[in-house]
Amino acid sequence: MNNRVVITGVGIASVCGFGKEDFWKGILSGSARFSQVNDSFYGPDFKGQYGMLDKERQQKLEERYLSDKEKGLGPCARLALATSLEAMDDARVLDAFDDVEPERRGVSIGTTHGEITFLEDAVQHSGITKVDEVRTGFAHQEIAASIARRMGARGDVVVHSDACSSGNIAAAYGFQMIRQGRLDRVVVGGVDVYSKLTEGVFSCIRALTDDKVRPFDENRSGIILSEGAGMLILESYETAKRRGAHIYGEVYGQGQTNDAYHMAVLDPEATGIVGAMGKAVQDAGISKDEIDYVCLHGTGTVANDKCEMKGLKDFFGDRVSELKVSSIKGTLGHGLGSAAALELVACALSLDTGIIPPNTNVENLDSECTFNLITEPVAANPAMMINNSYAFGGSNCCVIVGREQGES
Amino acid sequence: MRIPMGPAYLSYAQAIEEEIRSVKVSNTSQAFLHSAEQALADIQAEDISPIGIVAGTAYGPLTTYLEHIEALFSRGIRGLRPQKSIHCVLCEPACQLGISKKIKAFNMSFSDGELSGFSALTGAADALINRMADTILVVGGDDSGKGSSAGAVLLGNEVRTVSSYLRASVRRFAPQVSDLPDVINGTIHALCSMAELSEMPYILSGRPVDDLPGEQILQQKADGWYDKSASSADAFYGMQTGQRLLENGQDHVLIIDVDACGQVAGFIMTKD
Repeated sequence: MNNRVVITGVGIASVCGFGKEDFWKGILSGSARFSQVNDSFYGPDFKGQYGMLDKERQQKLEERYLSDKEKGLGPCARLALATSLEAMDDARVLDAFDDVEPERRGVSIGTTHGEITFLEDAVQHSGITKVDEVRTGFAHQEIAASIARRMGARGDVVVHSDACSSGNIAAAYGFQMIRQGRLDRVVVGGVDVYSKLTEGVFSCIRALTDDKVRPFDENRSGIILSEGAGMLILESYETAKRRGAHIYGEVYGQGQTNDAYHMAVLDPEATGIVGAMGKAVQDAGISKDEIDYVCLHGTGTVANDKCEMKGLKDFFGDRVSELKVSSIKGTLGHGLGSAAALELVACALSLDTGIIPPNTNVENLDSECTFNLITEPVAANPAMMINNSYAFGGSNCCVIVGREQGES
Repeated sequence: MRIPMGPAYLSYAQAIEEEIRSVKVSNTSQAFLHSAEQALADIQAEDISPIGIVAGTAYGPLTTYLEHIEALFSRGIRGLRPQKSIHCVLCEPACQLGISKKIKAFNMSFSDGELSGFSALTGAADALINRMADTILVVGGDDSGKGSSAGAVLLGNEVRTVSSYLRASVRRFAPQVSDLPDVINGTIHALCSMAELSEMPYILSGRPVDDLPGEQILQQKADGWYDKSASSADAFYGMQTGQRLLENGQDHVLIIDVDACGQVAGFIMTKD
């Protein structure tokens, strides 16, 4: 069975806005909020930035959607639930799932660190360092389970953890479960919140910038981590059509590879990136020539962007110079588990509005950049796009989305 | 569904005290590697790079996380070491396994609590259905504080010694505790239907440890038990027990478990 899969709702909490209107406005204008992080425990010389969510807006979102009991969930689960409910609201299925059997409803959420705040608080505030004292609290399944309870889902309810590819892999898995005929409606997406350890680790490996994030700029100097959640409602084309849902776009395929190279470094030959794009195109049953926009991983580190430039050149060949591409991490920072999910939301909004989002903060384009890097919003009406993500540890995942093709 | 399965392997890894500070990879990653090496010894292909990894881990490199968080709060960023701190990521055990064995088709990890191993098995079956690879290494395990246990099994066409066949694999969820009886019955029914069994198979479940409502229901349904370790290796303990039952005359074994969150997961193994 090969069911068609469409996107019918989105929910967003990001450093450039909550909800699709503010998020899209922020992405197109390149405006976001980053804060200086200067907690004394990091050390005397530390100067870091982090993309913190607007806590007032976050509280409003949670007030709107969560019950008192749900407000007691871990921070990751709370944020994932609130944005999922917003996505259901957007899809007009909030508290209205009865058109789909409970066994055919599911959840597939990605996260890099899940409820790591629990561990950090246990060590910092209670001095707990024993595994058996923290095991129960450091549990991530509630991130998906809390969403499943609100939608009365009895189908597959899963949490993926694949570092920076988590959001894409979670979406790809949701897509597969609908395509193969097991489920009809799945909440997919990614989430991560502020982690002191992660900020420390990225500082330790000198991956953080004290400048802006400048993907593909000659003078790029690293990333800024950020909080966020991006959720999408995926459903079978038939289910969406039957209820007259607004369709943002259609999911056509996915491809994954594993670099098997290094925990923190992409394979410089970019074979994993090329392989994942190739598999995605094959899975979608399209030609790579049909792709007219690439939503890049584009972290803004020297090595990652260099590798991605090579990967695109190797995969698209001579056509690479015509290809419209951008990374939105210049605006959003790196949301870890939420990153690829927010980028997939941006792809859905790009399909819906016809506008390609810009790659911000580029002043001197890298001389090795052979593709058409979009640095200002462009009304190009893209029909088929690929959302690329590559992760710590080597998991690469590309998801192909495009305009809904109508009855066929 | 009729997926060839190799024998299931289990292993345990514990870094000795003086090694803890020098070994970069986590205990769980070492346990993953030990069990995976046993499973991979049974693969027909010489080049294992085209296989995929589907992993399950509830807590990832938990000891490594704690060690680094403690170092950060006591000594600041200067207390972290670059080559070791990069292992502070939930999917590290699977990533490290992929890097060590050069497995390249894909690598995904599920973090679904104590049922993560079951979840990985279903994920692997889905990956085969979706043609992401012809053969998949399924691994699962967790850190108990004193060490880590992990299990591994090979699924797919390149398995040399087929010890059983995976005929069905299902995950379900009970939104409310009151839904559990229905959901457990539904899971068993869905498994039997997927495996095209007309008779109820031998039902094997994790020995109850927490007296959860779901465990109480399973006590009435199970024909036998396997011992659980409250970790993502549990599915592999079940698998090993199931494979022994098949060797000793059972034709079909249904393995099922529940967790406190409302997850219900199971699979059916057969002789042929």
